[in-house]
Amino acid sequence: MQHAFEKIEPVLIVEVLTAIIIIWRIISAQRGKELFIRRIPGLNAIDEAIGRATEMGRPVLMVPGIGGFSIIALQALSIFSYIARSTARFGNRILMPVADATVYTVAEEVIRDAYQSEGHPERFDPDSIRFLSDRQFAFASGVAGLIQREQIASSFMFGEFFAESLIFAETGNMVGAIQVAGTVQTTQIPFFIAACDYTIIGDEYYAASAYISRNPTMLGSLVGQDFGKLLIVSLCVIGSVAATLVALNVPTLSSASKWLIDLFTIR
Amino acid sequence: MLEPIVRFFSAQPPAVLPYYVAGAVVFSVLLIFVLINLPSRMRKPLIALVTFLAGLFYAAEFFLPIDKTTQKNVLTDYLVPASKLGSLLGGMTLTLGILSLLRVHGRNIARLRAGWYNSLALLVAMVAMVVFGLMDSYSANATAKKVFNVLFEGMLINMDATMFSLIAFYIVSASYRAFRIRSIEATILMITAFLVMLGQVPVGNALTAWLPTEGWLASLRVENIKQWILSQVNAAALRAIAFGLGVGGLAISLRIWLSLERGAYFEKEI
Amino acid sequence: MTPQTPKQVTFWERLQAIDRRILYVLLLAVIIFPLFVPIRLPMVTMPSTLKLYQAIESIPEGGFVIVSATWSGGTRAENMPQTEAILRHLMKRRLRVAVFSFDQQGSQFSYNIASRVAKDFGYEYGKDWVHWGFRPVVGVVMKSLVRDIPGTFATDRNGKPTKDMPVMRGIKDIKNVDAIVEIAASGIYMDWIGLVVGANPKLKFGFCPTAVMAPETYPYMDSGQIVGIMEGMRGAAEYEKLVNTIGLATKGMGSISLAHVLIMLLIIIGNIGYIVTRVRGS
Repeated sequence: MQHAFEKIEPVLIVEVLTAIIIIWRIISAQRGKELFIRRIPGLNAIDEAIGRATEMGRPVLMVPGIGGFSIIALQALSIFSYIARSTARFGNRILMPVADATVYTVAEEVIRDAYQSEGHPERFDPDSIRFLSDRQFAFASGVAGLIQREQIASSFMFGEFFAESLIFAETGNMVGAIQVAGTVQTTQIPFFIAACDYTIIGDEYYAASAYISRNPTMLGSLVGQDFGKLLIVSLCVIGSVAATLVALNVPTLSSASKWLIDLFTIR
Repeated sequence: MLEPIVRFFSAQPPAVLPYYVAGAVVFSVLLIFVLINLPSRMRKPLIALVTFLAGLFYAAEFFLPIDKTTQKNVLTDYLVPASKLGSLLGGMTLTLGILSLLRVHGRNIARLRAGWYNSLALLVAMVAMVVFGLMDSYSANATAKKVFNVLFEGMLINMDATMFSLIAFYIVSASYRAFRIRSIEATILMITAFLVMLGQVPVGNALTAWLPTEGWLASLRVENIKQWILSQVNAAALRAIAFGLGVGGLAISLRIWLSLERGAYFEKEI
Repeated sequence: MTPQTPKQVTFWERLQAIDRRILYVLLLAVIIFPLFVPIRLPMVTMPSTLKLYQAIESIPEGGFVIVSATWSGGTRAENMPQTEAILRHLMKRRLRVAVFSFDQQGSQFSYNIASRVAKDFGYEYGKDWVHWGFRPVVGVVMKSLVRDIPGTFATDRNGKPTKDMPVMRGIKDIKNVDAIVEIAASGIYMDWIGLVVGANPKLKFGFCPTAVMAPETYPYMDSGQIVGIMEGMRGAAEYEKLVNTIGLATKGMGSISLAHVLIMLLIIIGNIGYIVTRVRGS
């Protein structure tokens, strides 16, 4: 669908309603409403992995994927900012190879800020953030080489990953690194699960910054997201019932059901 | 109403082009000067305003009614200039990326650090690719074209394929290590993986080839079990994950669009 | 303090930790062996492949099909036979074909394949088929081709104007296109569905992903947004069978079969070691 106007109803109902719910939950959280967030083991493991790198005196690797500058990359940088604050405190060496030039410029700024906010700007090494290549497998070979040469102790992979995900994870496994990964690419999740110690699945990825910061705005947004999912699940159930009624040709109900199905059918 | 603006941003004849370029340079310098001298308290609202307007452009283009014959609305023509602006920004940051490569590897070579020759190989390869790539596009030199062909088709493409093929080896070691029947869930996972693997290849299909292709017994053929797992069980899980990701993406986009995002660089003093 | 004697590693523990180099050599052997000693096994055609084949079959002769080859050297093993199989079918059916790519390498590869297949079927460049070359910026090209195909692809890969080419006769916008087939190693099918497919209700959109990408595309085949899927090398082998040809995919199925068997055997061996160690330990 090129424009919403070709069939505006489903987009309007689902997208706009979800947006309104999210904003409403953010506002109510900002007004001081207490919110609960369940435990996400992968994110709890971040401190453990940094601690291990400190003990071993080996570097911490952070890979923001090979995607461009998008909300996925922004979320990855948000998590890496938290990790960088810890490494600034403990004095770990970090390595952050980047595949996208725009992400690279923002990443350098974010990590520098993290070191500054911890009061250790002198510990920040600009060479630790490196642009390698925007070609998928050139980047993959560069990162695999870094992992082997530097014998990294911990590896964090958050962002958009494609076929190179297993190359990173298995190379990290070869050097005995503790690995935490998270991606929105569902096809790559099995590879991360097979080769990493902790994997963040699906929309846990978008919950990461809220989980780490416990900021009311982010937590409110997270609860709003859940309401949005509830809306979609409700529509799925209603749609299934409607389709069944149409199939059974139930008098009076089937025409209403058909109208409902047509309303939400887009191509 | 927007016609003069569309005309202003479209391709210009060579006679007036230098004036446009000079105008753009002067405008950019002035803009940078204004931004640098902007009081601190005004910077965040300005960023919020620009972010909101940029997001509004795409949202409005999507939602505004279109003319059925041209398939356009008043904003559609601006999509291309907007994407060009994005490409322009990408191009400028690429320079910074290349500078980063030169800085890291130049220092490795200058200080003869361990493995400095790898850095040298990288820089030589980069320069060679740029030079012969440009000659291939803008020069009639047959030798340069041949060299570029060797670099691109003979080396780059095959090195790409080599890296991709590594995945086959890595999946063997990763699955050998990961599939241990430590729990009931792990056992179910392994059995499912076996069924999908058997259904994926002819040798697996041969195992149940004796079963009929029609009727209820056909459902027990391994390729049909694999198809059922992928199209019913797996697709349902993927749909659920896709819904979560879609809503999560919408939430983050909203937070950034409305400048509600917190944490990392979003709370930085500027 | 008495010195500790190193713990004896049992045979069963060794089964759980086979050196990865041995695994890699074994894999290399089972992939290479069938290339020299061909193993032909009966192929069963999956419904997803059959649906794509039937969708192409339903296009009337002379129909216009766009083939997008968004892949590079890395996924050549899977995407190359897919591209060849689909082009063979299209040309066998005497359909007009326009090939292009959002990837520079894909553009070169697809041109080479299409030229070869065109020769086999007596297809004339410009009259029966055209190659629009490499096109960057996915979103802009897709949005633009919905409204104006001759404007979006004004020149072919060699810079020659396309508007006078007989193959482009009557092609104005997406409403004149019968089918689009995307051969890709990425999630680009989402862009096609989001930006193009809905603009022409009669348009058939087929997708040929790498095997690892295939599972995530199933929901879109259920919804009818994708008419059929050619899954990786296996899908290509099935398609080759449907179009009566023996290509790269059919030849490669022996290697793929043995590699799968090896992985399963290794998993079983690892688990035998694990179970025996656990039983003895308890």
